Amino acid sequence: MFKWNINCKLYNIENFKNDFCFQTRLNEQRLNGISLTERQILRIFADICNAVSACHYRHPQPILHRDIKLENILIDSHQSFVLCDFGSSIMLPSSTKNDHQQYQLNQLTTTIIQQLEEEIQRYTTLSYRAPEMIDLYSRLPITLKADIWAMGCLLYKLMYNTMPFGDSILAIQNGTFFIPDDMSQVYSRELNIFVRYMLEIDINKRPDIWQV
Amino acid sequence: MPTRSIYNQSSNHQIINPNNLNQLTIINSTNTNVDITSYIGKMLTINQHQVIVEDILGQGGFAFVFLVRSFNQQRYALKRMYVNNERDLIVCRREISILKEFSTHPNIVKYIDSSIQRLSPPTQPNIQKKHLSDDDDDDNEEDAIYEILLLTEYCSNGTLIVSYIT
Repeated sequence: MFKWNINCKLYNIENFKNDFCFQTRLNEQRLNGISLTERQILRIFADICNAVSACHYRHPQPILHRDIKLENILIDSHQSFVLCDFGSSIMLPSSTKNDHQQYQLNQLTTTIIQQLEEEIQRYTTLSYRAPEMIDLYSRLPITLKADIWAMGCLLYKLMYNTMPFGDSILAIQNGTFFIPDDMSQVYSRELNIFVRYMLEIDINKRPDIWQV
Repeated sequence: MPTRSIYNQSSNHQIINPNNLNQLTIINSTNTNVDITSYIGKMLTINQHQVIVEDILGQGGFAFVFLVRSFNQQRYALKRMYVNNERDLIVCRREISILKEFSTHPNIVKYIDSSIQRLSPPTQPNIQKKHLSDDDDDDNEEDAIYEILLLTEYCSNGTLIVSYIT
């Protein structure tokens, strides 16, 4: 509910002006607009990785942002990309085994799950939500990896200007997403594989911020 | 999704900010569409900082974001939130402390200043109490309303949204 998402009306066209003509030609069939170059995307993503790793590496209690999305990325006066809106963040309890999570499995009573469900509804955005946040009764641990999933969604959105799973709960749970047909050549194979690497349903196989 | 907006009460009271400098900050709680544009030109105090509201950057839930200017012409973004329960207050405090802690990080929005102020309790506490207990069974805190002001750097380039011209 504490959202800054308002600024989204301030379209930032200026920055990408130089690439506009080229890009428009490149993606004419699909876009009628602008898309970012791989270089620009990586610059943005690297900045956000920096911000997220500061949160995730906080000691002893790491910060889970829970609402990483395009609308929460701003451009500051130094032309750096900055992460904002920590109104949805939580500090995870400290852990020696590097598996920080909000609740331990044995704490997950129905009441806690209901509470958590309300919290997630309120502070997170469905299209960026990780599978373990969708079905809380699966009792999968909600860890820092949830932010990594959101970053995967963010990267996809930066590339294709659409969300990988839309608002489909089923698609999120299956982890199925496709690269738009007419865009398949726009970005390198590596970048596409990188997206898939982060959008891994299995929390244990999904990378952490260091690996990203 | 539970709404705890302080605007959706049936009572007819007005909340008046006790801070003298903010005496023009009067919110008519019966009106769900508070004319937020009336804030433009108002002076607000956030702890050590005095600023003038220049524009509204946006609103959502029970938070507003203003573009403000300090006396030395520096521009900032000001997030104003109202909360009416302890749990939400903790969330706001946490947001402030996180931003404070990361204020030197190049990729996290810069914290400038903040203030948390308790506003006068509503004139009709019974209605308020009933309202709270209706959608919240774990609410046994007092019915105080807090105003949280959070001053951060202003990112003049706006948010990163790839614009699609159709």
